[in-house]
Amino acid sequence: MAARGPGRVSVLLPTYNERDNLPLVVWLLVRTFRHSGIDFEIIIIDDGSPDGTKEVAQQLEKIYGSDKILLRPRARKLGLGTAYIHGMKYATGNFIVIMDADLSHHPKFIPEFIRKQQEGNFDIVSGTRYKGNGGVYGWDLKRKLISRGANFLTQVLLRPGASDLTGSFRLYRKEVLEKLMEKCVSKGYVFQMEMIVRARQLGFTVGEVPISFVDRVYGESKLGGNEIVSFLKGLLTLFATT
Amino acid sequence: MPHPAPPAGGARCRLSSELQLPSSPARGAAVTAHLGTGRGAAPAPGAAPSQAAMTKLAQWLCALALLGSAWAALALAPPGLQPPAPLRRALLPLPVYLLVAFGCYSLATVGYRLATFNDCEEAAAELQEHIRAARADLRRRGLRLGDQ
Repeated sequence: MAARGPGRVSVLLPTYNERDNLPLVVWLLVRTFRHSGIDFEIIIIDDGSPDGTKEVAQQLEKIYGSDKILLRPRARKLGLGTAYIHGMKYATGNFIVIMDADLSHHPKFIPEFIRKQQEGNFDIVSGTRYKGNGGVYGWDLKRKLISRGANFLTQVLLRPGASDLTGSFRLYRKEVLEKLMEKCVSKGYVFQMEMIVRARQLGFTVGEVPISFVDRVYGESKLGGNEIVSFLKGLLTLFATT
Repeated sequence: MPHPAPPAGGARCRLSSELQLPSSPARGAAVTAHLGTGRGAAPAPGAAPSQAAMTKLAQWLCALALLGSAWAALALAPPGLQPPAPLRRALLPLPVYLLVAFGCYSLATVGYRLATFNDCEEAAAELQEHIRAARADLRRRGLRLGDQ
């Protein structure tokens, strides 16, 4: 392994009502890491899901061992940003993977992230739906149009140097993520966008790996007028302040 | 900081080439603003370059002001200093042309990318297969799964 490449990878999995998906994601993660021989730990940050996600996580802890599955729940829903901060406190890896626990991000891409990281000694490797073999499944034309339009607008206004700003499947060097978490204040889609924008500002390097995004298999996926309005607000805020 | 490489435009950042900038006012804005802030000059990572750099909004305003005043100076010059008539006839509607060109470029780009957005059918099928395998294995290990 390269000197500054990943020794151990900590996966942060913030969950809220993911009882059905969580075991499957964990199983896929464990399989992927064991196949590729990468040292790992999975940190589950459950925000008091009423559906019993925490109990499922406890069972997973028993199955895979408490050195591999770290359950670090919180009492109630406190948001994604603070979930990462909370999870990171317990992370022992020098690299952190953040991903959704709803199966839209397949763990099979993590070894590719790590390869890409080593290739260019990147600080961040971001999954991208908009390049190469990347793509989406389960989106209709309208959803695709909004996504492409929003992405184009973002590229023109912010020139961020990365093709997928709103994606949330990424590998971070731990100290880089810590530093970014101090700076980023946005919520939702804008949060992921701000992470990349600030990263570029601070001079961190970003590599990209095409990923396929399979929209939620179980449970509802949402993109309403509210999301679009708050995305635009966030975009303009970043445009005016960064 | 352990990463002394240039932040943007460096050999390691093949991404910047990916940015397709519009060939119109926006492009002028981008280029001018980029040079203006000297971001290519690699501020030391972590040395809070954000304090020195202009915001994107300021970059746009700067570039627009530059281009706008250049245009106004040429287009609205007093009769004695005016450029030759044919040039002037082309100059007057130039901002509108550029705006229309940028609009066309945007529509074409978004349209093309929309049309070529990959549908990951295989990825979805593979995921279903993996889910079946995961369920079977987890049951074997004694995990109680939902009824789905």
